[in-house]
Amino acid sequence: MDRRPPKLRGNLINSSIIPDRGDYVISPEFGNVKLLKFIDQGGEGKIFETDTGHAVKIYFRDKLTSRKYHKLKLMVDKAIDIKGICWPISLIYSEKGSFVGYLMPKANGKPMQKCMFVPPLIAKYFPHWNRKHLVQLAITWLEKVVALHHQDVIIGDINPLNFLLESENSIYFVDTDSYQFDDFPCPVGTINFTAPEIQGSNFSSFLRTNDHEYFAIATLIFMILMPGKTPYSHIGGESPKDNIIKGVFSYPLGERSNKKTPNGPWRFIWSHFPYKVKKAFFECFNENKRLSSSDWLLLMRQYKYALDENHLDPEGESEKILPKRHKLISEYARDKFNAGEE
Amino acid sequence: MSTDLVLRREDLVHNPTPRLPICLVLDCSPSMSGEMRYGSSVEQTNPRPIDELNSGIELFFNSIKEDEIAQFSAEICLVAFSGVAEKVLDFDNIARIEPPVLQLEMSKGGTSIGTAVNLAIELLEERKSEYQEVGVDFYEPWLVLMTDGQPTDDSHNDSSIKVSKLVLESRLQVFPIGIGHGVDMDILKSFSPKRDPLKLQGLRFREFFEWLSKSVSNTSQSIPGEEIPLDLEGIKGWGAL
Repeated sequence: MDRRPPKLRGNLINSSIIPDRGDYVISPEFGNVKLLKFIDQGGEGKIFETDTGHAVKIYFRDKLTSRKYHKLKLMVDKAIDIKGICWPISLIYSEKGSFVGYLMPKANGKPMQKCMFVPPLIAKYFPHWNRKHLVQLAITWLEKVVALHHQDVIIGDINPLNFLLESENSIYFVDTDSYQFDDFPCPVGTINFTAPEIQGSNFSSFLRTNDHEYFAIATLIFMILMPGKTPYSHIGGESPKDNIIKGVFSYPLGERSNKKTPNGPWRFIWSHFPYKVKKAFFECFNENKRLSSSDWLLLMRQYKYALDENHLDPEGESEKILPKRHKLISEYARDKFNAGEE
Repeated sequence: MSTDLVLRREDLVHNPTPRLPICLVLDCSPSMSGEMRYGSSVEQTNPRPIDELNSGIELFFNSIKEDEIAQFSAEICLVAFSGVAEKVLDFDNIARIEPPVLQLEMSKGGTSIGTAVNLAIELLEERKSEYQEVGVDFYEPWLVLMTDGQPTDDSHNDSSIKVSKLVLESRLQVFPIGIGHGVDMDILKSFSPKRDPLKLQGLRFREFFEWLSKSVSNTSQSIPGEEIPLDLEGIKGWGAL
């Protein structure tokens, strides 16, 4: 990706009215739209459900910049149509005609961080889930990421609060107006999903590369498969930022281990991963060799296949979300090994 | 190991959420009874400060239990003090804990702020080591110090130096809160090099703890090390400089 200088912040747009619940707003594509119900509020504005079955984001007064207007206009023109991606599909104006927000498909479900990042939450919201569901969730999520990447969109701020889950087969991506698009950088990010080489950077001052995005992808997949655990927590660890910068990854690959794997179920979960999955995480977090989104998608499909075909633990322990012991060698793996395949 | 210890250990390693250890250091000296003696006459404030404090603590625990992320992140420990300091509650999974009801230390007069803060620092450091030993991420610990009086010894001289150092190294967040007219705000200030101590308006303990639980909730949705701006607007509901 080339690195053109990012666009400036732009001037504030003066809008005398900031529409609220019950108000009508204007969409060039959908006409008069009524803001029916308040859904949520973020750092930049409020989200409402509309009488057209969509969702509308109305920005706070101090967030309405000309830069935002130009970016959203380009996004609307690009008309990306991927199931579950709440992409801006229309600009929204006040009744007086000033730009105040955008319209998008409505999302459903609960933020990933609030429904599956602690074992009791999985038990509460997805009581029937086992490991196959986790891997399927990773596949569903990656399919959308790959589709975005094919359109030259980089998410940038990969954040488990911005992916809403209905089921392992249905995920909604929200807050898409922050995505890196054209030469508009994604201005936000969080420590856990930021590659070591850009830790502490001002995200609005540069364009993220694919490689930066691949670090975040590996992190989110890790946190789906090890529900909620970050890749870099380890025994004797420091702050997440220091852990990432130092690149001390504590899960073993073959004989290579620093013996700092966290206590609890995490080492067992790791043991049950297929070798290729371990290798992908190990190389990403230890050696900064990062797989692309499509490589990860392939890998997760292979993992799912191995689970479906019972190629992992011979007693089915690999299917559990929290296995209670290390993986036993299956007959399948032994045969494969004897044939010199792995 | 006792069942409790086993459970505590299980919670520690099974929960992947970064922890926010919070130590509440609360003045339980006789003056918190709201009883004022003028020679032979006694005046009693209604409600009593200690009762309001207790209902604030209860509200704090309940709000955190209801928060989908904070309930897995916040770990609360309680130190009550007068002339002596006592650990009333140790860090544990908040889901299993009933909020404690603090009693006044009527028999033990005095206000030894330093002894109490030293104990709190010790407990927070111990908990941090436990996190590190098993590989659990954690936020900068919080120390909430609430007092209504003047210290009756010099223990605060050393402990405020210790605390200030931790605060300046970004290894501790301190929230010093003064209660009533008798409190020495300069002493509270000596524990808090980064932010000024605040004075509780009247007996607005509930408003304070409601604000505190929101701050805990905001922090628990962030990633350790990220700057979380405090809700300054919300402080106006209970505090003053």
